[in-house]
Amino acid sequence: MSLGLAIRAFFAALKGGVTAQRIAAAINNGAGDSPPLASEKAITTSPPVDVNRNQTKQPSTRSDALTLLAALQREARLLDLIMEPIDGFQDAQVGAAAREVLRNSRQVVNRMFAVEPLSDVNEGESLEISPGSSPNAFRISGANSSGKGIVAHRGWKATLCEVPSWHGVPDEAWLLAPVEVDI
Amino acid sequence: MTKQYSIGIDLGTTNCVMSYANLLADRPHIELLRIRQVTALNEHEELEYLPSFLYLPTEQETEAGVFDLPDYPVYPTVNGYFARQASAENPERTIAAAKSWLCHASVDRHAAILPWQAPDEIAKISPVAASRFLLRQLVDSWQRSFPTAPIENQQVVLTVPASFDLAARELTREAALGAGLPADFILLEEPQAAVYHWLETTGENWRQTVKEGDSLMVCDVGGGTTDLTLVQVCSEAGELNLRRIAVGNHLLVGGDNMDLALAHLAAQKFSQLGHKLNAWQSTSLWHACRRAKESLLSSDGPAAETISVLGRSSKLVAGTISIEVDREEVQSLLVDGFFPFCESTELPRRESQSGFQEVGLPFEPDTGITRHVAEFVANNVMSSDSDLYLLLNGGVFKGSVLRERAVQAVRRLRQSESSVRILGKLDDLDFAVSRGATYYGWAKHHGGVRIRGGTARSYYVGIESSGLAVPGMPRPLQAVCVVPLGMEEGSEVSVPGREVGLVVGRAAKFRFFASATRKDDRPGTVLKFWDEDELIETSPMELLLDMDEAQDSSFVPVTFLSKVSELGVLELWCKHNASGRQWKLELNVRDAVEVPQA
Repeated sequence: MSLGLAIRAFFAALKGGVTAQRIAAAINNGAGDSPPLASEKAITTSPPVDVNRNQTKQPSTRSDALTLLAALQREARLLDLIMEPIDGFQDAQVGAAAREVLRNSRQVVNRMFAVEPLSDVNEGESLEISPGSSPNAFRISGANSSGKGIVAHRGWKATLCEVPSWHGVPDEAWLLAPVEVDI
Repeated sequence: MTKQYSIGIDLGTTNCVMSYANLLADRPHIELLRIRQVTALNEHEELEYLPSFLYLPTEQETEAGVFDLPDYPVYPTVNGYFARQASAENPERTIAAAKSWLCHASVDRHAAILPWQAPDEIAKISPVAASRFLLRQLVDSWQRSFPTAPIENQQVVLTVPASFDLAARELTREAALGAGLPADFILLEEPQAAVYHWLETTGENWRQTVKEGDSLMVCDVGGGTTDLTLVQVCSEAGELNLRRIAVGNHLLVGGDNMDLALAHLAAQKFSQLGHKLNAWQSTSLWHACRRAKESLLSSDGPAAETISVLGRSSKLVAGTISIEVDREEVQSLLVDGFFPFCESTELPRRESQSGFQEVGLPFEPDTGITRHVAEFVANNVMSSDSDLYLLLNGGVFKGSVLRERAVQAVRRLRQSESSVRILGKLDDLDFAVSRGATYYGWAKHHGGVRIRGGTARSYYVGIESSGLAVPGMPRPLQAVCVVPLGMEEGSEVSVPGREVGLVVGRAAKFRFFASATRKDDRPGTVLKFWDEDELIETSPMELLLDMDEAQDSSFVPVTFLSKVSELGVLELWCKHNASGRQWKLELNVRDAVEVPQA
């Protein structure tokens, strides 16, 4: 590991805050972001972690991507839908399940990202592109010097980014949905 | 210390909302406060509302810290979003509608009784504590968002149902103070807050919209309760003003009942197809029904909606089952069921539907909201040549079909052809009460029209009449009016009439009654007979005089004195006329009132 990183970590730790806690977690637990060490078999039988109060008190982080995936499964069952082989099912059966999942997924996405169309101009209507506009905002197909075109897709943008904060133990960061057991 | 913000809190039966406006700005710019809450194990989010649900975690869950909010205290209950989700899978550990228990006089509201009928191994909490925990979470959210403007230095307005009686208001106040609200916070009635929201969004134009003599009926149908209030436009010194002239009874019927009714219909259809739903599926059905209701009851809604319940296992598509409900079915079930057309003389059906009634929450046996409105209109004479405006509030009225039906049904109740119109916009039915409360706090500092009206009820002390004692019979009871309906904030009144003797060293206990309909009783009016519907017994009033206060006499003759503070707090005092000394009567909310079951 480079000396520069070590020095940066030192000063970040000195300043305290989230970074400091992350450094502490990384030192205490080996590697905060590595995949779980427990074997897959262990997950199916018992929780793979030794739940330890001291450990849980330190807020640790996991990738927002995992938290988002877990939320989409929990509130919309999105993982169940996309992981299930659907070859043998009638379209109507797939549609009935998909309709529910899609509605709930949209709720989650809207709550966390408040997604809106990027362009105010409707699809099929004409739009003037100012010279020097960002290629990330406008993807232009065809060659025409007028700067005028027809909107084929309005684009999307997030107006919010509020993925839930997660504060579990590092080894559990990779769990997306619990085993459900009825007793 | 100058207050910096006006904060409006809607402590709802199903959702809590908190909003605020800067008092130093010259326009009320009202914002919603996002509330940090647990949304799943180890996860938290900031949302625009806090569902009014509490989940009692297991020891293992507490031990593992999966519900801890970083930088927040550890709460004994998990409040909000997660608790609402858990209410389906774990009903015995979840508390819903804690607020409705606050006004339930048949139980001791300080006793640890919630979740109602939970098994013994679960450590229960009291209705007052449940409300306190919810408010505490709101307060803590504020403190973290505005560390330089602590809530104890702000203008806080907390809303309560207009139909809350004195005891329920006192208990709400107790919960609020316990949660850290400042001592000078104001209790505002929810329907009034809805009117303030309308005033705020209309601005000074409201004086062009309504005229003298017009009436405004606020019909607030929340998730679990319905609250009615009548406000009259009057003219004082050439200025149009608003006066609240009546409030309805506390009705435990609301939007949740509608979702449940539709879920029952759907569950029947599933069982006809041979599917029996388990608890998990029932919740998911409930959510699906709520959505189908909103879609089918909007004016441009589809003719039919598919309601699907997903398979529970990870084989989602294979396990999904669906049924269809059409617009007409839903229309007759919900529109005719909850907003039936009725005649102005029709009364709500009082008889309970099943043979025995649980001691749980006294849910309204008659879900026909319009019949309750009819009774309310019949009890409150409105001038027939002026206009009646309807201010519809609550999430139920998002569906335009229900809004239309409510107006038509109220039109039918009015003998004359005078107009009944809807006031206000649809924009934020879910947030109107909180925003209106914030506006009220703001207007209190900046000036602006205020709804006058004073106390929503008249109050009576029960006194045994002296007469010949008949063995085995209690002495006949008389009710003496001590607070007239509409007694204004900041006023006090000495109750004329004969003196009552307090025995020193023994707690004097007075039965206490309230009425929302007896408008003409003055302080000192004595009632010998009354209808059970007319005078509702609430928690008794108590006073204990000890020896040194009584100055050597064993018997102190007193008269009653009532006061309503500037903050709307009602107090009842006993006054010894010879010495001028006064003692405050305290509400006794520990002893449950025997409420006759219908």
